[in-house]
Amino acid sequence: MSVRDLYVSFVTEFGVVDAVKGVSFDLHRKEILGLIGESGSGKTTTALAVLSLLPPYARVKGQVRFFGNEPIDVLSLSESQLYSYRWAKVSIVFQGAMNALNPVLTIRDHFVETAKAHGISDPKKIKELSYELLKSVELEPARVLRSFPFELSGGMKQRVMIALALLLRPSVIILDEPTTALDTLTQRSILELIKNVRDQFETSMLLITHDLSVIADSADRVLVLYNGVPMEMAEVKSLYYRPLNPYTRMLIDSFPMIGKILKEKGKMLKPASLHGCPFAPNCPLATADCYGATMVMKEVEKDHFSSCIHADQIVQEENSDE
Amino acid sequence: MSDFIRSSEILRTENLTVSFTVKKGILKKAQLNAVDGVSVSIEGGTTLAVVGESGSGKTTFGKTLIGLIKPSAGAVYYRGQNIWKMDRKQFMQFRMKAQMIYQDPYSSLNPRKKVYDILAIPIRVHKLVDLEQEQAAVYSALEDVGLFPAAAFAEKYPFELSGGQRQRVAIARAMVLRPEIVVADEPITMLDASLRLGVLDTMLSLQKRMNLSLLFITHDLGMAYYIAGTTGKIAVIYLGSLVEYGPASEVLKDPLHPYTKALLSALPEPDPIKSRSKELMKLRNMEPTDPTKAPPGCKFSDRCPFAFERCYRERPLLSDKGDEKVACFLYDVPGVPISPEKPAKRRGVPTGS
Amino acid sequence: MMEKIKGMLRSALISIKILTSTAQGKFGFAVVTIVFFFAIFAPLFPYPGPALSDINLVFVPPRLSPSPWYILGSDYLGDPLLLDVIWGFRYFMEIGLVAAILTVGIGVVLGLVAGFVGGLIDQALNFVFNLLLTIPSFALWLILALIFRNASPFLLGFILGILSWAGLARSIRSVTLSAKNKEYVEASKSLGLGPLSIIRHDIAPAIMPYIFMNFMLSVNSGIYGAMGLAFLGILPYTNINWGAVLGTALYEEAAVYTLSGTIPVAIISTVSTLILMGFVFTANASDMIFDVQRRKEAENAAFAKKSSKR
Repeated sequence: MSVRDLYVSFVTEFGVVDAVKGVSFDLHRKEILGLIGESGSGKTTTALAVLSLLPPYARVKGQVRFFGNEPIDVLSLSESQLYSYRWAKVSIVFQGAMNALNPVLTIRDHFVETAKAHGISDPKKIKELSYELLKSVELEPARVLRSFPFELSGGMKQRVMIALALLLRPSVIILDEPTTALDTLTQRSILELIKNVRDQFETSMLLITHDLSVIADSADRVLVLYNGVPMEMAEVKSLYYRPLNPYTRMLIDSFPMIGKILKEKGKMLKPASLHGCPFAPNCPLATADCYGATMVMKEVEKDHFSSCIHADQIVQEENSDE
Repeated sequence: MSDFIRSSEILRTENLTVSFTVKKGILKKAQLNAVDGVSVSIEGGTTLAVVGESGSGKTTFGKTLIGLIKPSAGAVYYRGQNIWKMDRKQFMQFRMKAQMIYQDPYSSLNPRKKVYDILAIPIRVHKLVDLEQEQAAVYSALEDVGLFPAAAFAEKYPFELSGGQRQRVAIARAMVLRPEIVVADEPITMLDASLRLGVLDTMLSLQKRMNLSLLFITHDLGMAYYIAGTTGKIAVIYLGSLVEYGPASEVLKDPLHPYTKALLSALPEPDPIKSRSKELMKLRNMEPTDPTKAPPGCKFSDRCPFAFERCYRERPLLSDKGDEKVACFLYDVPGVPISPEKPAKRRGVPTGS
Repeated sequence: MMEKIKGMLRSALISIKILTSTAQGKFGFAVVTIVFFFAIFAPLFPYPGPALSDINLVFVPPRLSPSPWYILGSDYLGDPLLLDVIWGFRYFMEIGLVAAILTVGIGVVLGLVAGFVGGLIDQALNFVFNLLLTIPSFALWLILALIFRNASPFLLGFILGILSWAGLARSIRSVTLSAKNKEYVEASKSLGLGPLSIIRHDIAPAIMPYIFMNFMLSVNSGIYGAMGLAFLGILPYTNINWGAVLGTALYEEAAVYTLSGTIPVAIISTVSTLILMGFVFTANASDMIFDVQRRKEAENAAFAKKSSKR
């Protein structure tokens, strides 16, 4: 699928809030695209836009195209057309999805309900499907189907949500913060699972997170968002070893690692700028131009995009270091 | 790790146990030890990082350490004195010397009080300074945690602050009574990535300046190392029991206990090349165990890839191995056999040694 | 000291501003102000007592002779209705305030103790609350009023308030319980703040809205009670108790069927309804006064105005 120039604003009683400001990306087959950003960066809003799930007070501009048998312009689909698009072509595992399970229904009921909602009513088929899917998420089908959500651990519930997302064999699955609220060991095993599912079902994935290690572990390409503005997009290794945007550099440096030395005294970050580059108030390379710049992603190096107006300067510095 | 009380030792726990009764089914009740026989010691000005996943009892441990929870067994010693055997005055003094920073910055501050009042009220109640100097004391506390200009922040209510700013206020509040020990319960877990290091560094520099003992609770081994650095200690807790305990550099360079090894293999790594080449240690069960269904012997035995028969039947004791202490039969430590009356509920039968 | 008083005045002004920001609030505030004004300044007006009573002027319709005070007509003693209304404000306010202070005072204290202390005391108090709630209050009022035949307004307020605090106590108890379990209360404890300080700083702000609202509503129920008892003839008739006027208009002057009876009924009903509505609206609108975000906004607005004036 491809997203071009996505702008999303919310009209509230306090004024207009621009949540997404000009996001564009492509998602290829079998690719895991990581969308990284902090809270308020617009990543969840982008995901909802892809599914056309935004509330009525949202103003959406731009283009979202899904390439199935023929290209579909998602944002112009009618309600009934969206019905056959959602879950069948693109499905989602929401943030804190494990809490989305109905506590008074068994897992089997969940499968039956979801299947029926999408036109599968043959009980034998549903059973077959649920067994197959639960096995593919490394769960024991018989036991899990019998259970209620409270009998399962957080990790198991997350796997169930992934299985449900796979029900109609979508081409794209969106995972919004799939590992928050899970234990460290469980987190890593869920990430392994996500990669296995991608290999087994050949789905593309949009992986939304604020955690750099999740990206490092599972993503093929990464898009960095800050305050709704796209900052950088690149293949994951290029992003880490050669960040071409000071914000990305800061994110990487903020990650506490074994062996890191205590840096300067804990400075507090100034809030993001609402005009031009949002990172300008805290950026070591910022100039006056940054505050008025239009943030557009430019291909600075092959397949490596950055919206920083000083990206060339960074490239020069990197090259001179070598 | 000798047994006599060192003159620089501030806090020590001996076999600290906190139990709760939990309902199991309609009639049965079970005893659950949230903290199970933990013994650690903290010296003045040093850091102890307590690492454990959710459900390990680490928060309960932290609160028990500073006297907010009364232990069911075992003791907490402050400068050699059992805190629950102190008289009221001494206990109050201890309380003031031991403060806590909570995990959730959105619920640890009174939403109806201005930042100024949140910091001023403890000062006022304990009459630490005269009324004229009160404002100066509050402002300097705010500046110590990086909230400039102090006068502006003092007039704000919590709802006007970001998560990172709230946490800084919480830190200032903990520091205002000049404590000797601070327990920080996952203070940066709920903050955005870009705010974390800033808040952490603030805490560490305050620790250095005020020569505090810091008990840092976290689930992240990497964070534990960052905090404990080269001079601190790490204690790894699993389901309430201390499984490994020693200098941070040793524990991380050469983890002894299988659980610590597993945690290390699952350490979040931002470098994509390193992250994908790291082999996640395969445990027999990747999901955390239900504490009420834990095996009677070593609590980790149902997940440990190295477990043998003895691990189910006996509980390993914490014993010395070099500079560290570890509780695992792999290292020939003494064990406590579990009495046959205790129901042996375990998942699967051990498959030989 | 001066600073403290100035601060309190400012805070009161902000509360009023917030209160009057909605239509409901404006109405309520206006009513409460008028009622209190007349309650305090009633002695400036002639008392509708024997001096003014004229048996020839019983239940006459509004007129301007023999004096302009008869603009609303007269009551069952021939006294001007307008003066009944004015002095009635004072009468009912006394009853209402005594009832409210008693209700809120006992209710809050016991609710706080039950919620904060917990344990056996809480269980015992809970039992008492539930017991009292099952007592039919109206029946009790009837009995007590009959016993204390010559009840002064103060005593009347006392009777009406003494047993109506149980409901409030229960609400206060649950608010206290939930406030007690908040993390910042634990933080206060570890900072060495004693129970009184915790109650004052951490718990009181949570129960203030309840106190204020219940106060307003208690005043109302005091007024209801007093009017009702007089209407039923349980209390000895005083013409400043509008219930008495209502009762006599209904039974002795055949209100609804005669004009002379209907007018006082209409007037009294309107006045009392407006007062009751006023207090209820104030109670409703008062919720906003305690919302910290609103207060900050109002403070900022006031500050902006001040600095733009310079």
